[in-house]
Order: sequence, then C-alpha cells, then structure tokens
Amino acid sequence: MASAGSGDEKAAAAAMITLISSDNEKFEVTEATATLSQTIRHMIEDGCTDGGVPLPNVTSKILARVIEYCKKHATAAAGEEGSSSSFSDAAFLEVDRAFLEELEEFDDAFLEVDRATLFDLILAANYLDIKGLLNLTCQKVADSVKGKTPEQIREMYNIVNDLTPEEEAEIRRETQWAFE
Amino acid sequence: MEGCIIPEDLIINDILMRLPVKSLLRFRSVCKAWCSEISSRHFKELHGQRSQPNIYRLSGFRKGSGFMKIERLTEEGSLQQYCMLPWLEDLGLVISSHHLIVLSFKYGYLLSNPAMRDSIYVPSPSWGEPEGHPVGFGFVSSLGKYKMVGIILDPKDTCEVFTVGIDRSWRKGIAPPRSLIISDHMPYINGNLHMLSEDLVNEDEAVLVFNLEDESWSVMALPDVPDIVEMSCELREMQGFLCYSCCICLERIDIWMLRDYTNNVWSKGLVIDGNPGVSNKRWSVDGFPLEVLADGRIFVGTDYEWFYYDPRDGSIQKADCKGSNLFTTVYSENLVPVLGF
Repeated sequence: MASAGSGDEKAAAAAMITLISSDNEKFEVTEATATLSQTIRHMIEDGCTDGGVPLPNVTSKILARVIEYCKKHATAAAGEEGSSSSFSDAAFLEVDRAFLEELEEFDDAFLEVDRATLFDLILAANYLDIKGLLNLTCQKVADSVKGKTPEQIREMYNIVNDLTPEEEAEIRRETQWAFE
Repeated sequence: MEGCIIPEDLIINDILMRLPVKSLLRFRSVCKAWCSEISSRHFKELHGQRSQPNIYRLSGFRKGSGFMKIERLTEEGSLQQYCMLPWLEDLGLVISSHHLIVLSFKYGYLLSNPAMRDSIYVPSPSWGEPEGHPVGFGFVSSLGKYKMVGIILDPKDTCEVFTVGIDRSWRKGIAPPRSLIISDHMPYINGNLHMLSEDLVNEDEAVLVFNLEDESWSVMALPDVPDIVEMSCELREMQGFLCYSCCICLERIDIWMLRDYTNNVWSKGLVIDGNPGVSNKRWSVDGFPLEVLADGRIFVGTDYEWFYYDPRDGSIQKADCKGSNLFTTVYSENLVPVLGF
C-alpha cells in the first residue's frame, strides 16, 4: 500500500492527512503532498480534514497512483510555487537541472498505463484539482489522438457519428489536405 | 467498460485545445458536437491563445520557382517542410507575429495563416512600396478582425491603418506623438502595438504604444539602461511579456521584461553571456532572442546563424540549421481566419 513512511524524513514533523478512497482504503500522506490538490487544500483551510478526507470518486488503485505523483512533485512544487511561466520566474534559473530530468523521467514512466487507467487519472486529477497531473494526462491523450482518423476517434471514445453523409463529405471537401 | 467516460467539457477544454490545427480540422467530422465546438469563434480564439509558438524559416524565394517554402524547426532541431506560399516579387521581409506570417513585397503584403492554408493580399499604403516602412498588426478581439498599421518616417511620421476584411484601402490615422526608431518588430501585447521612439531634443528613448482598438497613441517608459555605445536594442515579445533586448555586440544580451504592464514596471529578466565558461571560443552575440522553446531553451537568431541559449546552465549551443534573421519568424498554429470572424 502506498502510504507515507519511507521517503518523507524531511517532512516527518509535518502534519499528516488521511485520504479515504471510494473502496474505504486509508492513505496517510503529508500535508505538503496532499495540498498539491487544490480541492484538499481548501478542505484543510476550512478545517474539515479531521477523521480523514473521504474521496468517493477515487478508487484505491487510482488514489495510490495519484499520491505517487503528488509525493514526487511536492518537492518540485516547493521551489516552483506552481508557476509554469519558466522564463519569467527567477527561481527557475536556479532549479537543479538533474532534478528536472529526474522528474521528466518519472512523468514518462508514470504515464505508461492503459487507456482506462489514464482516463481514470484524468477524472481524479480534475476532481482533486491537481493542475500538473491534469496537464500531464491530458497532454498524453492529446498526443495519442492527434494522428488518428475520425473513425478511430469515434471508436476510441464510443462516439456516434450523427453527421449526415452529405455534411461529412462537405467537411472533407473544405479541408481535404487535413485528411491526407 | 472502456469508452467515452471523460466529461465533454474536459474533452473540449483540456484535450481538443491541445491539438494541432490539422487534427482539429479532421476531427470536425467526428460528430456534430465536435464540429460545432471546433468551428466556434470561442474555441478558435482560445485555442490560438494557448497554442505554442514554433520557429519557422522562409526559403526558396528565387525567381521562377513559383513558390516559397516555409519550414518548421522541430523539437529535435531539424527543419521540416511545413507549407508553400506563392512566390512574391521583391520580397521584403517576414514580419513576426504569433498568429500570422506576413510578408511584404512589391505590391503590398501577403497575410497568411499557414496552418489553415489561408492567405490574403493587402495593398500597399498610400505612400507606395512597403519596403522600409515599419508595419505592425494584431487581432482586435472586440472587432473580430486583424488590423494593420503602417508608419511613414519621412518627411514627418504619419500613420495609416487597414482593417483586414473591412477596409478596401488604407485610412489615415493619428500621427505618432514622437519620432520612431526604425525596426522590423512591433510586438503586439494587451491590444497594443509597441515600438521604440527617440525624442530628438532630449535624446531620451521611450516606448510608443498604439492601441489597435481605438487607434490612439500613448508613451511608456523604458527601463533605466546604462548608455553603451556599441549597443543595439529592440522590442520583442516572449511568453506574452514585452521584452527590451539590448545587445552589446560580442559581449552579451541583456533582456528586460515588462513584468507589470499596467504599472510599467521593468525588471532584468535574463542576461545571455556571449562568453560562457563552457566554450573556449568566443561567441559572437550580435542577435536577438526570438522565443522560449518548449524545453526552456531560448532561441537566438543572428544575421546568419541560429543559437540556443540554455538559461539553466548558461550554455550556448549552435543550431544544426541556420537562417537569416530577416526570414526567420515565430508563429503559433491557430484556427483564426485571416479575414476574421
């Protein structure tokens, strides 16, 4: 089980939060890890985390992965304060390059999941409001669909084609080169 | 069950928004909902704002070829064929903008949104050939149209405006309140075009600001930069910020950023050292940074060559390909039609 313990020496003194998955599994994490989620951050601010935070939309399987992500990125976020505008951020210049590369490798490995899991991660990232994770997972989906044909997209996403053959032909005619 | 379990707003705002133009044009034929979403003005404008800039190079403008080639610099650092544009007589230069590629030529301007294969011609302003006249343009959201501004420097600075898709010829605008320093770049930020100006009496430099919506002028202060003889300066846009780049030839490039636009607060954003410890050969810094690439490196174009500057370790790396500054441009793929909405 992915609970706190081994890698969190630095934060040992920090407050711990208990997250409870939809299937009632409990995960104990540091506040720094948990507050990568804006949803949980607001709950902590409102003081309603005593007795654990129930997350009825997230299964233990997915929550474990989300926590894995948050633990890794909590360290990075400490220096970054969530700013993605690297060029404008003076702190960016001092960021340890090796650490950035390590983080990139972690993200790549993290995304090695089947499509159903990826979709579940997107839903969890959206529900928990974890911007970095939502960006990462949605970009992965975007990268995987961008070369596909409309037929493949319909199949992947169970979408019914409600365009008439005439409408579809017209769209194709307008930008034939996009279909080549 | 594996299917469409992601809510529609997530698909649209977080997945479709990230796709390149070509995929989106194709995905209009997935279903009615996707078609109307991708075709909506709201989606097109937002997608354009979020679209990532890339570096493009124009080449093959020898007479008789019939076409000019636009190539895109890939993440791997090589040039990839992107699209063709019609050949233009007396091609002047590529005017940098994030959403259009604009070329000046003998009879006017070619405005192109290459991702959409959408191009139109705009005639020359009243003073004749466009060569040598500063021109700027930008998308005016309230109008849903692109506007162009041309400035004639001699005998006295005057200004003409052209609304693309509405005007048939250029209109006289209000003359700028100070004289302009000639430059190929007029960054468009917050609805304003920016150009360098010099007050000939007091010799103080400032930023001339032209609001494209109401077509009025104002003046903005520049950062306090020490006066160095061998220094050339330009205004640029990088990552949405107005930047004042000062190149001290063969030494370094100082980049000042207008971090707080409303209160006119500049701060030094970056110094590109032309003599980094990692290289024993002196690098000739005589160019200007064009854009921050997806991996954080900064692309610097000089008259003949391209370089990457890595702000994380201060290293400078020569690009495998090269191009002249005149024909190198930054463009972000977008769905906005050249004629507007």
